[in-house]
Amino acid sequence: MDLKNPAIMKRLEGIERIIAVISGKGGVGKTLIASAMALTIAKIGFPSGLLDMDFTNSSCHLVLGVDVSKEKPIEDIGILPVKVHGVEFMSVAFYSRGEALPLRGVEIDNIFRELLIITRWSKLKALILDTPSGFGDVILNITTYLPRAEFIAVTTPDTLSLETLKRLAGTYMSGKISGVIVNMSYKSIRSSIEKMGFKVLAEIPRYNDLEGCIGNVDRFMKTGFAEKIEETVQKVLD
Amino acid sequence: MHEWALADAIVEAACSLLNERRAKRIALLNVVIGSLQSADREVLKFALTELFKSRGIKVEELRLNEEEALLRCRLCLKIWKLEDLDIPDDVKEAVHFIPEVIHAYVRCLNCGSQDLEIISGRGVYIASMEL
Repeated sequence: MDLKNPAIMKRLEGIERIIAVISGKGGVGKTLIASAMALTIAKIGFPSGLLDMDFTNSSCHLVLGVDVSKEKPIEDIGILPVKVHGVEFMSVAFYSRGEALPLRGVEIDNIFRELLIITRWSKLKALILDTPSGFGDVILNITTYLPRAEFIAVTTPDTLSLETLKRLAGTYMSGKISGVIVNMSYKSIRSSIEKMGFKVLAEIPRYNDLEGCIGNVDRFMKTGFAEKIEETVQKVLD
Repeated sequence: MHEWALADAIVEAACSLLNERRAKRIALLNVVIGSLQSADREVLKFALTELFKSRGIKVEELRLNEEEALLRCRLCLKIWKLEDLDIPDDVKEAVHFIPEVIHAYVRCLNCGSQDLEIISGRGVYIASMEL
């Protein structure tokens, strides 16, 4: 018997909204968007959290500039997330030292549940989940274990990325999608997305200055990208 | 202590079943402690006892059984005990919190693969519960 559901529910009961940033294709900017959303929510005065659920290749800590070999969550009747620029942050990278973690489905499932039952979040306005690409174990686990989680889907205007969004529209998860962010936008695809039945939260152009801001939150939050995310967060929280 | 969070998860799971059955008493609770997670037996026992008491649940008999951690290489099928792998203390500490991070640190001693499967002794779980 391994019934961790009730414990997971209890751990998350102080969190108003759980928002998973998802996409069918990789390289669309999920990690930057998830990190920027969590930082923005904190910046505008609400308690926020960020949980990196890309267990095999965690990278939110790189965006936030957290040295996972030095900073560690504190053990206190569970684990207290690390506070970064006002954001409560948790990642398996604290325990894998940021190394690649080759995992199969059952192992991903175990980490998913373990992290959720041991992490003690404060009362949060929103917990942002960064997820791996595709509709695999983590996304299925979110729908199973976190039924009140909502999804924000990320796409680029590229055909292949847009096609995966169309596929998502045909799944049972489509009802959980509260909106779509088009990232690295070079043409408007708003009408195509609306035809799929999704709300467009933002069309964010490509910003070439982002690469130099990875790991430097102060600079990252002064970019045009962060401004666009702030507009998006206001819409999401309204 | 991290053991309190593990105990809390067990108590929540048990209470959820007790609520379904409208029961307030457990005749026998069998909890397994997998050696990979190296949870402190005494702390876990104390935490379970206190948490059940705080929920008004009477546990007639609480058994904590240790389970040896075994890892099997999915490539060459060799089976390894934890002590064969000579894991440094700081890694043991990390594995204590999230047992699966062992995949970042350990390779099969026979073929070097990182595709290892934890076949027993992963963590703490309820093996059985009698009302």
